[in-house]
Amino acid sequence: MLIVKEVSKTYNSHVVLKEINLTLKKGVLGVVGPNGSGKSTLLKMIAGLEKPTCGRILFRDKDITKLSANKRVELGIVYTFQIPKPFYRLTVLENVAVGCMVRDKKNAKKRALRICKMMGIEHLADREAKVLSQGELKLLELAKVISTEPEIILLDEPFAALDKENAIIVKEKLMEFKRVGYKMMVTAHRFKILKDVADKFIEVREGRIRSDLDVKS
Amino acid sequence: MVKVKEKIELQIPILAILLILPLFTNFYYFWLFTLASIFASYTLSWYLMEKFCGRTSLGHTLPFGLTAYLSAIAYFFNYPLQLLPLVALIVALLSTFIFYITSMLDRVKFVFATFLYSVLLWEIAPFIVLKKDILYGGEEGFSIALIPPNIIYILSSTLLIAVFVFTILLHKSSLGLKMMAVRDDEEAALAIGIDVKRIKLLNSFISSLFTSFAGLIYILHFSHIDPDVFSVENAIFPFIASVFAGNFVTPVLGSYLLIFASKALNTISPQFHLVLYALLLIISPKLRRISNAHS
Repeated sequence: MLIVKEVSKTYNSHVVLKEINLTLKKGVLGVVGPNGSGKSTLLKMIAGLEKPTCGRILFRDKDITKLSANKRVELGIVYTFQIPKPFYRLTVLENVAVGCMVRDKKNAKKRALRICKMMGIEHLADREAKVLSQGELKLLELAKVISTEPEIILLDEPFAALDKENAIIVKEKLMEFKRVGYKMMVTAHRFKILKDVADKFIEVREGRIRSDLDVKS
Repeated sequence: MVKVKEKIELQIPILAILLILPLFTNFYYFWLFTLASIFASYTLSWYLMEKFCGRTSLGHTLPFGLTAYLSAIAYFFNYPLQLLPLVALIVALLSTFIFYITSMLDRVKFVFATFLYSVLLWEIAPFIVLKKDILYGGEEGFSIALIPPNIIYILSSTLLIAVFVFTILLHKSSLGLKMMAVRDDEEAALAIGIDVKRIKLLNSFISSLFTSFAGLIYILHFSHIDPDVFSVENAIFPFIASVFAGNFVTPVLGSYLLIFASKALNTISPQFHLVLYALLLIISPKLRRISNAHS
């Protein structure tokens, strides 16, 4: 279980997030809100890529607030960037293999190939990431995330900059992840795009969580 | 995989030729080839940082020159030659610490900060004066015992082979892959579970260690050292020598070419080789783009 307790974030006296409280026990939590509302900052703080100004983050009853991002990946919390950040000069297979090494160095490439197949990008395995299209990059990001064998996946705007066709493919993959049992937090500008994926929603607006509604209700 | 293997199979004979060739030359060329192999080790050690962690250092004269300098000073205080590798190790550790701290800066600042180290050492070195019966040090530098050239040749060849083999092994290893991930994007590497700080520290250590040993063989080769070991010319040498870098033998080849070309140009006019350095610096961005695309 992941608990965010009274977490705030301030940049040079500008309050981005104020006293955020949330809990992720299971399923998929949709985080919606306009640009600049603090959605990405919230996810980055949970991932350890940003430090909260105050508050605590607990995972499996342990305080992980001061734990580095790479240690959190080892625990099972992994983050994907809104704008894909592949290792551009590495091949697709190597990109995924890097993630596999978090758990086991020995069979990293074999497992990476299996993940590439699962994500439908095995035909790109030997290509350098710098030549991939936006849609392919998103799939690579998802493959990298899975390669670390996570418990919680933090997806920052997974549908951003995608055409309809690619958005459908990414959505299908997220549904697959959900069926497998990954816990996820997914951000988006609008509620509509996440309604099939998320079980529950929160809205972040002006640095605060404004709503907490059940999508099925 | 096959491609990599083919590339390596092409590189090894080139390296072998460069190392065997001096055995069939006269004394002067034997000496020059040995010098070139020392600088090739220096460049390849520098390239380990550039290729694997994306950090362009203009401060590798720190481990290179400082090892040479401190070895000469240690020798002055009757420290046995056989224990000089310990000096190289200490300088490597010091350089690791300095490069690691500097690697917290962004890539552009890293270049300038490391360049500052070179310039500072170049400025400070003339003030290192040891007094015994006569004034010793300063602009004149220090000397150590003469070592037979064939021993220097064996040492420099061994070091070059060691750095080369290590580089290839690192390229194939999981550690190498992690380093290249850090090179491409530090934040993304952190987000996928790589301990970026540890990787940078390891990379700094590996690069510094080999560079320090190159510096040690350099002082043994010349039997003398002066402040010019920290010169801007030496600081930019690995950068220029690896402008054609695509695989691991090209920085080695570049070093040999640069050493031989420098000697040839200096027969026209002293320091004329700096014109070549300047020209290569000017066209280096384009050459690097081309060689990266081909690799």
